[in-house]
Order: sequence, then structure tokens, then C-alpha cells
Amino acid sequence: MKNKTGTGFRIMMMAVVLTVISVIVGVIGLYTTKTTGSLADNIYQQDLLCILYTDQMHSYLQTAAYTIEKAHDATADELKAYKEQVISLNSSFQEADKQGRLCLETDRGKELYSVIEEAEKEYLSNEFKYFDLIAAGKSKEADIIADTVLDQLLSQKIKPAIEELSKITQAKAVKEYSMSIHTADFAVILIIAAISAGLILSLTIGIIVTRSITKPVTKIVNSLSDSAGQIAISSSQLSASSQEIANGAQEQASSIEETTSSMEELSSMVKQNLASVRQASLLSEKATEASQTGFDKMNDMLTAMNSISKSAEDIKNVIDVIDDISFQTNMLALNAAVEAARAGEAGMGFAVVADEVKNLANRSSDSAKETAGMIKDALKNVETGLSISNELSGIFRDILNNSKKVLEMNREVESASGQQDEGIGQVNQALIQLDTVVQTNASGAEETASAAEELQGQVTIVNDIMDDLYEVITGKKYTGSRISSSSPKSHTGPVKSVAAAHSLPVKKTVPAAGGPKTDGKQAVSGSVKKTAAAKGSLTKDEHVISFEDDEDFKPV
Amino acid sequence: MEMTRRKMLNNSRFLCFMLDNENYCIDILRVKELMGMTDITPLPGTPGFIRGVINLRGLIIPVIDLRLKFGLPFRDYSKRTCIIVVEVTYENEIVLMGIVVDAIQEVVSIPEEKLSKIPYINARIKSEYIKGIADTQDGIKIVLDVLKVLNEKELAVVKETAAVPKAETVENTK
Repeated sequence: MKNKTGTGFRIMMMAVVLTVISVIVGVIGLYTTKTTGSLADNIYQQDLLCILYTDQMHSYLQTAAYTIEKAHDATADELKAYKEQVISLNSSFQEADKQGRLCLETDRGKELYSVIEEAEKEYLSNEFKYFDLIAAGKSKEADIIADTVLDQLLSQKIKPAIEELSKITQAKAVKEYSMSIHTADFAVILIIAAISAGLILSLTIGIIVTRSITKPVTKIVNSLSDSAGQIAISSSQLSASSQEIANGAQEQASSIEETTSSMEELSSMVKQNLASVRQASLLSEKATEASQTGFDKMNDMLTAMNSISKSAEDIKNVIDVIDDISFQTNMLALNAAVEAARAGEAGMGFAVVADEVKNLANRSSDSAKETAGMIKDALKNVETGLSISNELSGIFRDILNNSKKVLEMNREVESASGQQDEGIGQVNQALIQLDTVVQTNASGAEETASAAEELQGQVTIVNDIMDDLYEVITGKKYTGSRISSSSPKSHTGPVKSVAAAHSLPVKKTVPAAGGPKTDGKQAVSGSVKKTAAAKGSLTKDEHVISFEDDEDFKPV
Repeated sequence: MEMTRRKMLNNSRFLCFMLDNENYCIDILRVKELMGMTDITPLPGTPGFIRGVINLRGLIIPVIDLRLKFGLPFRDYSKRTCIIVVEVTYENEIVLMGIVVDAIQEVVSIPEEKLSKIPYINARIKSEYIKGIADTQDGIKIVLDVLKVLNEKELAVVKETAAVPKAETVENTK
């Protein structure tokens, strides 16, 4: 049953088989009828004719015998007539004999016929003799011939032969009759058997084919029914899913609103940032300039310090010279003192002067020393000042570099802020696109829900068709389990309302994102209120639609 | 003023100089002249303390380094380093000789009573050079005997280097 032959082909095959069977039955009937007919023909052709011919032969012989008896007392004319009669009879006999010989084609028959022929010839010759004797008037001799030879021939040869022939023919006819009856009975039995066999075969084939059609069809109906149920479930799930999608779209819409307002704040912040950064970069430019001037001044100061230290060096040289001079003076004074001492009493005054000169030289030397120390201190201070100035110069350079870097960074931050501003604009654009996509999603969910609804309607129609098909095929009402698909249908109603409620506020808020902040906020709050209202209507819708279920579910 | 002059006459006068942070004095009458450091021409084949000879206004005089003579470590000559030209009598002849000292300080007059004859015991300088110890306002000063600083041999060497013109000067002073 599992082979993949189509139902039409099967029915065709069944018709072919039935035709073949009926043809076979007809052929059998025809054949048997023909056999019976031929048998009857045989009976007629052979047996009946044989019997007829033998009978004719018998009657001819009797007529001949009678003619002979008559001829006994007959005149010559009469005798002549009798003789002619006998000759005609003999020819008729001969004819019958010929015909009968054709009918009976057995050895015994042929033998018998030949015997009869010979006997008849003999008989005819004796008869002619008889007639001749009669004609001659020798009636006694004729009687002797008639009584002895003719009677003997007739009774001993021809008659038993004819009788045996008749018997044989009769037996054969009886045999053939019984055979024909047998054949007819057999034909009847054969026809009945063929008919019954054809009936049984047709019935079995019919049952098998019917089964082979109804079973899969029932199966198909069952599975189709199941599938329809599954489709119904799936469509209800689809409906629920589209509901969820719609809810998601709602959430997305609200998120987009929030994002839009956040983006607005961000945008204003970025703008503020940009302004601050510009100010900062102006300030840092000034700072850079200031540090540059500081650095320059520092360098001036460094050169001034260097010149101071050079001057101090010169002063030191001068002081050295002074010191040298005072040393020389001292030496001179000492020499003078020595000279004075050596002069004795005379050099006493000179010694005093020398002493004074020496004192002066000592004082100038001390002063020079002091000045040199001071200069040394000053030089030291100048050196520390120089090193501090150098450090300061380095610090100023660092400050300058850093402020330059700060300026660069400020510029980078400025450009970055500008890019941020642009990016926020792009994000806003993207949000608008996102909003349209969300709206498309919502409408898509709505369409999906309505499609699911339609699908459920189609499922009921399919179920009805299944029922009809089942009834057509099996003649029974379909009693198989059917999966109900009515329960989740209540979702399809609110989906529309949610989508409708959502498309409104989103459209309002998104273009407002570019505009002033307060307007956007108002729009957002308004949309929130509207969504809340939509949610309220959603619950109401659910209540309302649960009543409509049964009406909606009927197939259109 | 008159008092101090007298006082000065009564007292012996000494020239004070520094040598290795120590104050020394010599009799001023032995001093011929004071001068700053000049170029010294070294003399080969003489003892180490004889630094060489200098030209003092045409006179070739030998110069000895007192540090080296006293066995003190040699110190590079500075601006303060001076040469004291002294008169030394050797074999009845007055010989001029330069003495290199660290620095010349002053001319002081030390009364006889302040000059103690107690020999100063110093590890660095032989006591035979020392004439006495003077206790002055500026502290204790060692008074050297210039004549005893150099012994006979050395004085001979000095005299050889000083040569002829010195005799005239000796005569002149006499």
C-alpha cells in the first residue's frame, strides 16, 4: 500500500482488472457455448444423419423386399416397373450408403459399410436374377432364390450390419449427447466459477483499492486537521508575539523619547562645554603670552645678572689692584721703618711717619679686604641669583611649554566638542529614523496580528473542508479531536490600539529634539500621558474583545 | 709723642714676619731691605734651602728659604711671600742674603725686660737659632738670631755665590 501510485492510477488499474476479468468470463462463456454448439452440430451432422441414412437404407431394403414380394405375382410390365424401382431404390441406397459412410468414420463403421455394400451388390445381382427368373416365368426358382439367397443375404448380412450400424450410431449419438450435456454442465460450472471468481476478485480489489484510497485520505484529513490546529495555535502565538512586538515598540518609543531629551541635554552641555573651552583656550593663549613675556624678561634679567657678575669681577680686579698697592705701600712703609731704625736717633721722626704710612697702608689693605669680601658675598649672591634665575627660566620655559600644550589641548577639545555637537546631531537624525522604524514595526505587528486573525479564519474553513472531505470519503462525520484556536485571539484587538496610540506622540517629540528644550519636554510629557491613556484603553479593549470572540471566529 | 719716641729709642726694634703660622722676629738692624717676591734664578750644586740668586739693583745676592732651612714643608710662593734682605758678617765680611718668609707683618719695639732668654723648646726649629722669646701685645714671638741660622759651611756657600761687590758694601757700612 505504501507504493507511490496515485489514486487515479489505482482506480484505473481496478477498472482495467475488472474489464479483464469480465472479458475472461465472457471469453469462457463464449468458448463453452461454442463447444456445446459444435457438439450439438456433431450430433446432428454425424449421428442424426447416420441414423437417418441407416433408417433410409433399412427402409429401402424393406421397400426392395416388398417390391420383390410384389414382383412375384406381377406382370411383365409391372415387373419392369418394379425393376426400375428397385434400381432407383438401389441408387438411393447407394447414396445413403455413401452419405452414411461419410458420417461414420470408424473402422468398424467402414467395415460394416463395406460389408453392407458387398451384401447389397450381391443382393442386387440376385434380385436382378430373381427378376429375370420371374420374367422368365420360373417363379419357383425365383422363389427359391428369393427365399434362400435374398432372405439369407437380407437377414444374415445386411440386416444385422445395418442394425449394428444403427446401434453403433445410436451409441455414438448417445455418447455424444451425454458428452454435450457434460460439456454444457461444465460450461455452466465454468461460467459460474468464472463469475464468482471475478466477483470475489473484483470485490477484494475494490475493497483494497477503496481502502488504499480511504486510509491515506483519512490519514491526510487527520494530519491536515492537526496541521490546521497547529496553524491555529501558531497563528494565535503569532498574534501574541505581535502583541509583544507592539508592546516592545511602545517601550522603544518611550525609550527613544527619553533618549531624545537626554540628547538635548547632552547637546546643550556640549555647547556649554564648547563655549567654556573657547574661553579656556583664549585664557590659555593669554597665559601663554604672559609666560612668553615672563620668559623673555627672565632672559633679560639673566643677562643683567651676568653683567652684574662681570662688573663684580672687574671690581674684584680693581680691589686686587688696590690690595696690591696697599701691600706695596706697606712694604715701602716697612722699608722706611727699617731705614728709620737704621738711622737711629735721626730717623726717629721718619720712623713715626713710616709707621703712620704703614698704618694707612694696613687700613687701606683692610678696607680693600673688606670690600673684596663684600664683593665676594655680592658675587656669591649674584651667583645664587643667577642659578635661581636659571631655574626660574627653566620653570618659565616649562610654564610656556605647558601653556602651549594646554592651548593645543584646548583646541583639540574645542574641535572634539564641535565633532560631538555634530555627532549629537547625527544621533538625533538616527533617533528620528529609529522612530520611523519603530512605527513601521508597530504597523507591521498590527498587520501580522490581522494576518494571524485571517489565518485563523482560514483554519476554520480548512477544518470545514476537511470535514466535508472526510464525509465524502468515509461517509461518516469527522469525530477526530480538533485543536481549538479561539482563546488567544483576544490579543489582536489591543495591538491596533497600541500601535495607533504610539505613532502619535513619537511623531511629535522627535522633530522637537532640535528645537528649544522646554518644548521637547512638554511634548515628551504629553506623549507619556497619551501612552498612559493608550494603556488604559488597552485594558478596556481586552474586556470588550473577549465578548466578540465567537462572532469573529466564524469563517467568512 | 716724645715719650713714645724715647721709649722706642730705649727699646730694641724688631721686624716681625710669619712662617708657617708662627710669628718670628729678627733684629731690625740686621735688615737691609724688604722686597716682594721676584724671579729667583736657581743655582745648581747648592743645598736645597738655597733657592738661587736675585738681582737687587745690580747686586747678585743669594736667597735661602727659611721654611726649607727649618725643615718645614715647602709652600708655593704667593703675593704675600716676601724676601727680607739681611746683612750677615762672615769672616769679617758683610754678606747680603735674602730670606724668603711667608709674610712680613710689622716693625715692633720690644723692651729688654720683655725679651726673655729662656730657650724656647720647639720641635720644629733648633733652639740654637733662637735668641729668645718676646711676649708682646700681639702674642708670643720667637726672636731669631740671623747669624746663627746659617752655619759656617752654609755661610761659605752663600759668600761664594755673593762674590766681590759685597766687600765694598761692607766697607761702606763700616
